[in-house]
Amino acid sequence: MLEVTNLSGGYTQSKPVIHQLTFQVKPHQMVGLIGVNGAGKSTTIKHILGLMKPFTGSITLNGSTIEENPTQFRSQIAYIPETPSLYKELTLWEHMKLTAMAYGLDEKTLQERGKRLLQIFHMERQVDWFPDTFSKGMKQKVMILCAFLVKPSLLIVDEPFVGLDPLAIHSLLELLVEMKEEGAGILISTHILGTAEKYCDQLILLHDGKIALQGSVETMGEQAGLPNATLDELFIHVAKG
Amino acid sequence: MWRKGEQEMKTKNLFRERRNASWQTGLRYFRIIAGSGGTPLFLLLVISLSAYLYTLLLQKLPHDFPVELLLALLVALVVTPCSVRTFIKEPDTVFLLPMESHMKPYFTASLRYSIVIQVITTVFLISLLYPLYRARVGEVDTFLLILVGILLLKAWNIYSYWQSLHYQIGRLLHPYLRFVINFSLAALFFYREMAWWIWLIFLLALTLFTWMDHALSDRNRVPWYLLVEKEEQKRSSYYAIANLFVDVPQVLFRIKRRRVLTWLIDHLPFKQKYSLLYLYLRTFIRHNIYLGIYFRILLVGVILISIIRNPWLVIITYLIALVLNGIQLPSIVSHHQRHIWVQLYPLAKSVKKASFSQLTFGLLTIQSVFMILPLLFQKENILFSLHLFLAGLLLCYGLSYHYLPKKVEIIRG
Repeated sequence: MLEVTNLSGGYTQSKPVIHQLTFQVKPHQMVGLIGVNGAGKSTTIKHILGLMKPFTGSITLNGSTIEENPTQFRSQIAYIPETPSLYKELTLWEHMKLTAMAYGLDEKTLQERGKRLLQIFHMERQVDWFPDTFSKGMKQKVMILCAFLVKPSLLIVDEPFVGLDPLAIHSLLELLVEMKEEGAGILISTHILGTAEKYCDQLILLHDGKIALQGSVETMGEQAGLPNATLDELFIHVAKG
Repeated sequence: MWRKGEQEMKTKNLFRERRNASWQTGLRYFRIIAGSGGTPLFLLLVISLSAYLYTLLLQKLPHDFPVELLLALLVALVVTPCSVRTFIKEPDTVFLLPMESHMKPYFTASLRYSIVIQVITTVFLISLLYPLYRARVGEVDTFLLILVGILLLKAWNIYSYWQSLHYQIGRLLHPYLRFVINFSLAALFFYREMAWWIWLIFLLALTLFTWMDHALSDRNRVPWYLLVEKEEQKRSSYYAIANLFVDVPQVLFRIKRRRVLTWLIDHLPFKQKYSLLYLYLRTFIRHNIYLGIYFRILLVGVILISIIRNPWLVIITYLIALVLNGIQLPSIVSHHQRHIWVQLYPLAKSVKKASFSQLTFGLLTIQSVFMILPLLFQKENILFSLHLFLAGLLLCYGLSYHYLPKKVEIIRG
């Protein structure tokens, strides 16, 4: 579904942040993107979202690139950003309504999915609130609600667990699994290795903008020459060079 | 002891640095605004119109009108609203917190600065009342005496306001109490009432206030969050004014819910192509400035068109009012273009452009309808009104679909 081939990119041509990345996200698959701060996780995500232009390489989603058909490309992706970004002038429900409108859902779908999601994340009481009264966790929940409302074929999640309460983390993971079972592909960047190991089918360990190790924990161990190593051990092995 | 003095010196210097930085930013904007084409002309227009209305008021005011009370009311409206520029920023709640006990010189400097600035603006505003005073009440020497009294009153108001920021309870009531005192004192000034017992009562009232300041306020704590909020409000109102003339990126907007107006726009069809219009309309209605400016220009337009008799002046006023409201609208869009969601929505560029044009055309058409009404009620020249209305619509169309979209940088890019 998502094919990233030889992707290099960054903010200035002379200083690429990511180098020659090649990986896929298939339907029914959750792929974990891990690495230390500054390894290039968020930059990779920005390229896939089309917010940054690759220097070389290509990104295709279900066979087409963003240049070929930006509207079609974007309508297949939903994104949960690392830092919640909300409209000061819209209430929680209006955020969901705007998202539904922009992604071409109908009103009935909004009502059904929206009500269920609000219930799951215990946000029913806040539907008419403006975001300036929300805590960091609540703002993050709004991002999650909007992304799951869209039900895209590819979901990109950037470090979603920070600031969420344990109950919300649990619900989020349950929903991710549910979406995966329904056939979506998920690309998730996180520092929480235990969760990544437990939930992801594939892992990509980035270091200095390059893919250091890739695959299941076993294959990554073999790649590193450390069979039977845990993900934590592999991570530290790579991070310390 | 020596170290303590050093910390105090630092906070005092910090205030000075921030004040200078703020003035530099202000001057930079002033230069841009003064240099931009139409602005000085527009201000000149507004000033000469106000001067004209003022002289008209002086002539037409009935002789038994209680001018003293009107003057007292205006003085109270000038003297009561106070602010203290502290230049406190959000990060200060973390970084300056350890310095809390050394902040006294900082805030003393800020209070002194605020008093100086506001006394100067008060002199300016109160002198505007002089022609009215001279025409009906008294001579220049008594006016100057009263002015000194008003300035002392203003300084006391700022000091008292500063105290009220430290109140644990009753802070919101404070301006109303001050208004009553200011109004009564100003009325006494203008009536030149000298009975000693009246003055005694006011002396008592002022003492009560000062006592209240001491009793209700927790003066050992700095009300950090309140200061951040006040400072942001102050800054955003300055930026909002500058934003009328130039695009100010860091405008901080305040949001109001406005249920009735929201209900009015809730009938927008639930369609993908209207999603940005949904966002823009809510932005327009809920921000503190867009709607305020829109209604003010609309109102001034309606009033001017009702009273002006010269048809050419009517035409010019009608069209200028439409342009004035039109040019503030592109910032609604550029305000959101930097937002990540607007960039990610699966919407074609043509939809983005159309949303802005629909918003602008809708709002300007509503304005042109309201501004033509006074002409229709006069029933003198229906044909003239209809022609003017059509010309207005044509202008709205040109602005909305051709001229203004070019002003929205990102739609173009």
